[in-house]
Amino acid sequence: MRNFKRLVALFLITSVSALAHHSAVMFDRDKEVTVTGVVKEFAFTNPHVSIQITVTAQNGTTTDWSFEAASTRGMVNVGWRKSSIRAGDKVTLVGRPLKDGRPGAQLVKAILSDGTVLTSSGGENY
Amino acid sequence: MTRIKPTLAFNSAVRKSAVRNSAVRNSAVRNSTVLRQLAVCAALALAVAVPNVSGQTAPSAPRPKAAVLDQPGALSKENLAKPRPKPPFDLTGNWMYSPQMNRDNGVFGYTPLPKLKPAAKALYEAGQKAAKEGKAFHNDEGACWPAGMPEMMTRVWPNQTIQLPTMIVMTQMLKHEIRWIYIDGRPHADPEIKPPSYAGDSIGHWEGDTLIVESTNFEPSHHWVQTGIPISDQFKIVEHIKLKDEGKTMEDTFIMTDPVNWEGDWVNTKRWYRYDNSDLEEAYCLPDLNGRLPATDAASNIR
Repeated sequence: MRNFKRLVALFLITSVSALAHHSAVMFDRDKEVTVTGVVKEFAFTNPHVSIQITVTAQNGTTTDWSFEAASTRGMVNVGWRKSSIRAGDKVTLVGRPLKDGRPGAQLVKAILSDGTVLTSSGGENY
Repeated sequence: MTRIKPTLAFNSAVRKSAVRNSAVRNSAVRNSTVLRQLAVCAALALAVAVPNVSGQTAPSAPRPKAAVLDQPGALSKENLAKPRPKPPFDLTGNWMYSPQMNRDNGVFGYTPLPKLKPAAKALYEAGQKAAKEGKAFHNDEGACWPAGMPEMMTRVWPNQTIQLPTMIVMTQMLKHEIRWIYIDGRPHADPEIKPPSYAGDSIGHWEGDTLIVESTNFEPSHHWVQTGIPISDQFKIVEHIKLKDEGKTMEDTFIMTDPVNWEGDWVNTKRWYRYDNSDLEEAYCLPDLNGRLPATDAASNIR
């Protein structure tokens, strides 16, 4: 199953350009940011799934990051489920960062603690 | 002026009531009592109506169209049962907007743009400048306002369309924005009796293999065609809708006019694919959820 998910992720890492509920000009499509932290909240909601995580720096300071993704159906289509991640889980998130440097991004993929990779959805998968 | 119609309706109701009472009671004495009551009611109604009529300075002032006030609802059995020619196609289905199928027309925008009037041009350019700075510009839809027409048609969520003999209902999953296109032969509703709306007042008819839909009476507040291009209360859309690829593709050519904001016709053709493997889900725009999304929070937006 894990291999299947990885295969799905490999084939479905596509541009997340068409969230369409709002403008996406604030995200830098040419960059990716990777952060690892503890999930504060996983909102399996429409119009957008979102993940809030707390990232602890080496000096001990913490930063809350906000990642937004596609709709529930779009995420379900590429393997996500309501229970894919839970508050308290340690995850690594990859996303297109806000241009203004604040701790927020458009989700590209999530790497779970067991190594499972779940890509975000976009475009045709709404 | 607008009080005359209810007064007449009241008189009509009194007449019908009188007839019903007459039939039930079947008594000459009681009938004469009813007639006396009717005369009193009519006199009272006239007393109310006359000052309103005499207060009108323009005898030719427009009146509510009786055809609209008396229009049977699109779901009334009477209206649904009227004989009509078989429509050339049935739009019933879920239609998905496809960025990939619309690369040649601006995708979420409507290129080429028309020649914008100065005020609209200034807003459009401010929107372009904001985008270069990584800011959304008056992105009211992101702040939970309705997208309205035409933007509600190009959201990347399914558009659930149900075609009846009298009406086509389109529900965009995102925020459940609805448009009702009446195809039962009625005229546009008089703005005196129907307020402006984000989807507009839409009247459709068939011409050959094409559904022609004209939409008017739009609400201009927080309503944009695309980033930085607003609409006025003179905005109008004529759509030419066709089914292509053996019913797998819906094509809609928008002809948009707004003499306040641009010159001439703004024409753009969009395409959707039939998306059978889907149903709608609830997708409200909620302020608390919006507030924690980086794209819709205050810092990412110029309001």
